[in-house]
Amino acid sequence: MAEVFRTYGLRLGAVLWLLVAIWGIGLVAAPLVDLAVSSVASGERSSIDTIAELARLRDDLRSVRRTWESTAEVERRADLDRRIRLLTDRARRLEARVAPPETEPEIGHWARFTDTEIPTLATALGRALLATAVSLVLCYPVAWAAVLASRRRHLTLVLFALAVPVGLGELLRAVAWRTTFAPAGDLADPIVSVMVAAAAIQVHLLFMVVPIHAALARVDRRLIEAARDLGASTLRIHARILLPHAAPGLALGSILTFALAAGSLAVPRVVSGEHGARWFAPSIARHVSETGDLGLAAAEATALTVACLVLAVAALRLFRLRLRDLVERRRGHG
Amino acid sequence: MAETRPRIARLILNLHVSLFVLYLFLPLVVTAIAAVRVSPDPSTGDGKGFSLHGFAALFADDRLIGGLVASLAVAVAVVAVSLPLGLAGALVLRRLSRRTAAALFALLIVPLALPGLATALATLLFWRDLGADGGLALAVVARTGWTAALVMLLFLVRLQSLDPTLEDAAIDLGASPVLVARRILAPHLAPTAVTAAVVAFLAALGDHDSAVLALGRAATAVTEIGARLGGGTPALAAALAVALAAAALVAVALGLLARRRTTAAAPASTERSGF
Repeated sequence: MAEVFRTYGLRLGAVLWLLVAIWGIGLVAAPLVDLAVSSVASGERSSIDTIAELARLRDDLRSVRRTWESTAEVERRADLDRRIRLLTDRARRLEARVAPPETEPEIGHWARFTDTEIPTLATALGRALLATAVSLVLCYPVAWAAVLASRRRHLTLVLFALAVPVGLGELLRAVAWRTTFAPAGDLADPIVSVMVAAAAIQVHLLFMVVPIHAALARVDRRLIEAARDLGASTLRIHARILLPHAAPGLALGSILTFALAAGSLAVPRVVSGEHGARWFAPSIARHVSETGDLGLAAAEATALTVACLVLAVAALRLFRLRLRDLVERRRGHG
Repeated sequence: MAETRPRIARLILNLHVSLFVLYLFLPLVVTAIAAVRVSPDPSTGDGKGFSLHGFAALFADDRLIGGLVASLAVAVAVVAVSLPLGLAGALVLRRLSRRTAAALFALLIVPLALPGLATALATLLFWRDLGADGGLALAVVARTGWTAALVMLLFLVRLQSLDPTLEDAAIDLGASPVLVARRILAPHLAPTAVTAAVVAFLAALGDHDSAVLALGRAATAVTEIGARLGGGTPALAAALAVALAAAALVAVALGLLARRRTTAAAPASTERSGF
């Protein structure tokens, strides 16, 4: 700790430590502890979100009605009519909920969680694992191609081009998937699951490609040339040299992708419509913003958090890494 | 080396990359086309001509335009907060003993392993207990845990190629810490700072999962479209997607320009300007 002050001086060192403390405690540790505590607290929380949502809907309705009155176009009016109907309908449903919720103080949040949510959580984790595995397979060759291309100086351009879709966000990219493959809007069930998988993977590809690329870029090219001169096949070079070197990237990419896929709220909402009832993440959001059941939502989010952390540790074990190997150059490979 | 690579392996690799790029961009192209079709409801596919209907609807929609402004504001704020945090984290970590560094590193990168939804709910509950309500500021806070960790990773990787003894030597020779930061650290880290800023901006711009819980009554463009999914107009969503893609493109282009400038200014000794 003193080393920080010695290197950066008293003032700069203090600023750095202050920032790190705000981050570590205020943004990470305290909220997560609070989440876990909320999941076991028995106190009834008010459904502020429902009331806020309702007020928002009413604002919406008012502004849409104003637009309706000032529009002459028939097509646009029909469009707005549909929106008004939708909003009114949703507001009515919310109004019913604002009435004091039936409280079940004798049943803890975790009891309710284990009763109803475990199968959906398991499904969500299974899907996320599958998505992670598929994107590993898809992204490794692309990362390697990016390394090969780096000589031509297109590298930065290619990676930045990959970054543009990130700016759209999951939701709009999922909407894009829906427009591409089910323009009419009705989705048969098996198609839905394939689309969910495809969209879920697509959304997170960049976070797999970049870490793998960063790891592969550190491999000494002369090692590969030597192996080839000694008669190693392409497959053997990948298996014996490149994959072991890529391990930190593979692990980091898997951890990122898994978390993004397991907790994705936008993708299920878009590709399976409003009735994403059997999905885990949308159920958390529903408990927060519609039923105001924050205790159950906290229990669900805590379970998801624990599952993600366990799987992150498992991924590190699988690739035989310590946490710091994610950023440090490894000495040799194991 | 490329010449000695087996032809078949190269062919397969090129094919794979082409399909990958197609897979990534085809939905975006389709959306862009949907945004300029004539029919007010392009999902039915009966409009074939060109029209800016979707964009007109977008600009007539107060909440969406407000949401777009909010999206940009949140994204800029996230960059402004996570760059200093990520940089501070990286600078502190490299000067700690191995064990302390490992513990602090684990704490700081936890949000990367968590879904945005869980972090956002934790943030929401925590700040509500302190008496703060959901809103744009809370959306920034909820997103920052994730982006700051990502920014820190980028800086840590970059700092691998900077020998700490260089700074030690400068200090031993009487340079002040501020001078060391300005002459050694800043030039070395500038290209990475640009990349990190662009990545954080993009990740915050398109964010839905953590924003939707933390926003309360406010809305960004993305959450607003999300709220209208049930019966909303596809043309509107498509037009919005094009608008956000344009913002992302501008950010990326600015990033490339800034990177070129900072890399040119950086010391020539750095062999590879990694991410």
